[in-house]
Amino acid sequence: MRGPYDVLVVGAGAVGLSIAYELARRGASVAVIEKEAEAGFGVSKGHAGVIHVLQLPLGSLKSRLAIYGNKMYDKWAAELGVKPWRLPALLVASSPLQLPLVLLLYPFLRAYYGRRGFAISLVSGRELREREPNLNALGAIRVDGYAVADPFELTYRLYEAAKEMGAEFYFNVEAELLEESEEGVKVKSSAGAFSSRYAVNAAGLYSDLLAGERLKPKRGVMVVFDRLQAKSIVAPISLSQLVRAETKGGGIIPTAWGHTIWGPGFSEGDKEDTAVYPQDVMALLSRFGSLVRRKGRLLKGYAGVRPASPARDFMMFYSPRKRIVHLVGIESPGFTALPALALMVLKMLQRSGLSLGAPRLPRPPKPLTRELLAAGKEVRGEKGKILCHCMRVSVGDVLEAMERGASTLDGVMFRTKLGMGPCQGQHCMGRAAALLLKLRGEVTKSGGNSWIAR
Amino acid sequence: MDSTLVIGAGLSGLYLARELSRRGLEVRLVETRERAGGISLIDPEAKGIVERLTSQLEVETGKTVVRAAGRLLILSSEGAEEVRGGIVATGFRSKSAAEMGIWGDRPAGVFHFRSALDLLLEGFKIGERVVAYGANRYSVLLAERLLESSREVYLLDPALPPQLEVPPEVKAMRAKVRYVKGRGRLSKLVLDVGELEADALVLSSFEPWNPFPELLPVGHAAIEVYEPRALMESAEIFVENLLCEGSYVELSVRGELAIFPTPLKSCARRFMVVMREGRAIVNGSPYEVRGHLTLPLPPGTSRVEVREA
Repeated sequence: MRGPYDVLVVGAGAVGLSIAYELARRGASVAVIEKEAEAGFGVSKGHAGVIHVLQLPLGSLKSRLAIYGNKMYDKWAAELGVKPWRLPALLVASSPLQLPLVLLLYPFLRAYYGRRGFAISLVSGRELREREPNLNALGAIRVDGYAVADPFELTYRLYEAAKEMGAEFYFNVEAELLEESEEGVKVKSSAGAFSSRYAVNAAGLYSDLLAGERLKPKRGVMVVFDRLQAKSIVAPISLSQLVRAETKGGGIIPTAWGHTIWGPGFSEGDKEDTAVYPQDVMALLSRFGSLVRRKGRLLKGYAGVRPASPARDFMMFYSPRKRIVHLVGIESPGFTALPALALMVLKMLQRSGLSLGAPRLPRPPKPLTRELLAAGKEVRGEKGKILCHCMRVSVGDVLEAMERGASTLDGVMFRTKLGMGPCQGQHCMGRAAALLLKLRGEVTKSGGNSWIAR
Repeated sequence: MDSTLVIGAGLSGLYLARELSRRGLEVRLVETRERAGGISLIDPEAKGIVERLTSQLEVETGKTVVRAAGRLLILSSEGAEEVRGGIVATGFRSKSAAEMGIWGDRPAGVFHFRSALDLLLEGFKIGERVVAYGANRYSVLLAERLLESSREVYLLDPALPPQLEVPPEVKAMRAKVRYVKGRGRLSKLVLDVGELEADALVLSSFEPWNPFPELLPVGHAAIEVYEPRALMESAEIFVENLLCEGSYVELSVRGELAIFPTPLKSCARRFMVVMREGRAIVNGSPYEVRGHLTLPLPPGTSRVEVREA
C-alpha cells in the first residue's frame, strides 16, 4: 500500500492538477493517480482555451465559479508563468432579423454582468466593420473580460508546479474504488492500494463511476484554420442562448499563435468517442461560414468529450464522512473556473479538518526556443537545432519537454507546439518520433498501443 | 557582394545553387536536415545527380531558416544569423487529412509523406499494412521503399492515373478514404468502396508550398511537377530569369494551371506552363500539356495569357 498521503487526487486533468498544485504549495502531501499516460490527456486535451464571462443559467454554480475564476485568472496564471490574451467577445447579428435580439439581450446582460464588473456595450455596424473587417455582421453586443489561453501550456505548468512542490504522480494507474473510514480513505487502483487522509475525485469523464452518479457526456468538435480571422471571440447571437441553459454553441476563437478555432459544436456522445464526423464539420461550416470573409486553410478537426452532468451544472459534494470531495460534471466553463474551483475544494477539505500553510510560489518555467527568439535572445547548441520551422521548436525544446515529463509524442507536441503550425508537422513529426525512438527505445502518440514507428 | 542564400538542399536547391555558382555568384546553401537530398533520396532517377551535386557543393546541413520577430534568421547549433533574403527550395507540402476530406478518429499511424520518409530513411518501420493515399511518382517510389519493411503496401487514389507505373507487389486501388478508425493505433480505413484494414496511412497528395511568401520559390515550393528533369529545367529557367535585365511581363492565368517563374521578365528566354494534364491556350495557340511544357518567350513579349482549354 502506498501512502498515507494527506490528499489523494484522482485525475491529472486541469481540474485535478489545479487542486494538487494548490494543496502541495500549501504544504500538504499529495499523490495524483491518472489512468492516461500523461497529464491532461483526458477531457483537458479537447479544449479550445477560452476563459469565459457569460455562462448560463445565471446564478448556477458553474456561472458563479466562472465569474470568480475569470477575475482571479491573470494573477493566478502569472504565478505559473502563463499569460492569457485578454480580448472581447462579440455576440453578432449577421442578418437584419437578428438585430432586434441585440437590443433585447443588451440591457439584460448589461444589468447582470455590468454589476459584476464586466463592461458590456453595443457595437454599431460601422464600428464593427472598423474593428473586424473580416466579418459579415451588422451589429453586436461586446462583452469585455474574455480571454484565450493555451490550455496545454496551463495544464503542463500546473503539472510541473505541483511536482515541484512535492506532489507525486502515478500515470497509467486507474482508480477503481474510493473507500472511506473514520481515519481516512483507501483507494483501490489498477496498481494496488493507496491510502490518504482525504481524497478528491477529479476523474473527469469517469468521476461519475467513483461518485455513484451518472454523467451524460457531450461531444464537442472543433476545426482549426491557419490564420487569424478576427481580433475578438465571435459568436452569432441567438434567442436559444437565453431560453436554454445549454452551451453557447461555440464561437470563432482566435488563438495567441495566429490560428482560428471554430467550435466547439455540440452533440451527444459517449465517453471514449473523440472522432470527428463529417456532419460535425458541416454543422460548424454552416454555422460560421457566412460570418467570415477570408477563412484561410482548414488545418484539422478535433473533438473533446465534456463530462456533462444531467443537471447541466457542476456538482461538488462530500462523501458521507466528508473525507472525499467529488467533482462531477466539471465541463465548460471548468477551464475558466479553475482558480476559484480549486480554492473551493481546499475550503471543503479544510472544513473536514485538513490544515494548510501559506502558499509558496513556483519557479518560473524554462523558456522555449520560440520565446527566446521573440525576446531577441541567443539560441545555440541543441536549442538552435530546429525541427519545426513553423513554430520554431528545437531539438533542445523536445529534450526539455521530456525532462519536464513528456513520455509520448503528443506530450511533446502539447508542451512545445511541435507540428501545430501551418505545415502540420510534415517536416518535424517524423524526425521528432525518430529522436524519441532513439532516446527511449519506443515512441507512442499517447501511450498504450498508439505506437508510431519501430 | 553578399552571397545568395538558397533554402533547402533537395534536388531543386542543389541544382539551383550549382547554376548560380556556375554563373559566378557566391551561393550559400542551407538544409534543415542532417543530410542533403530531400525526397530525391528515394528517386533512382535523381539520386545520382543529388549525390554528385552534394559532393561538389558546400551544403550547410542542420541549419534552418525561420521567421522570428519580423526577421529572417538562419538557426543552427552555432546560433542565429540574420539574413536579408533568399530563394525558397523547401519542397512540396502534403495535404492534411482535413483537406483530403478524411475525418474520424485521431489514431497513431497517420503520417504526412515527409514524416513517413524521414522515419524510413532512419531505418524505422512505420507499419505492417501501409496505405499511401494519393497516387503520383513520389508515392509510388515510397511504396516501393515500404515493400522492404512492411508486409502489405497499398496505393489508393480517387482517380488512379492510368499511365502511372505501379510495381505488381503494390496493391493499387481506385478509392476515396473517408474515415480513419482506431483508438490507439490506426486499425481501419473506411473507403467509398468498402473498408480496408490498415495500420498506417501516408498522406501523399502534394501541393507547392512556399513558407516564406516574401521570397521567390523554386522547384516543388513553386510548381507541381514530378520529373527530376522538370525540376532541373525549372531551376535553369529560374536562374535565367533572375539574372537577366528586363521589364516584367504581364501575366494572365486562368484555370488549373500555372506559369513559372513569376514574376517573369521579358528578357527570360523561356518559361514553363505547369498543368496536370490537358490543353492550354498560350497567347492564342493551343498546346497539349502533361505535367509541364517549356515554351520560348519571344524577345519583346510584354504579355502572356494562359488559360485552360
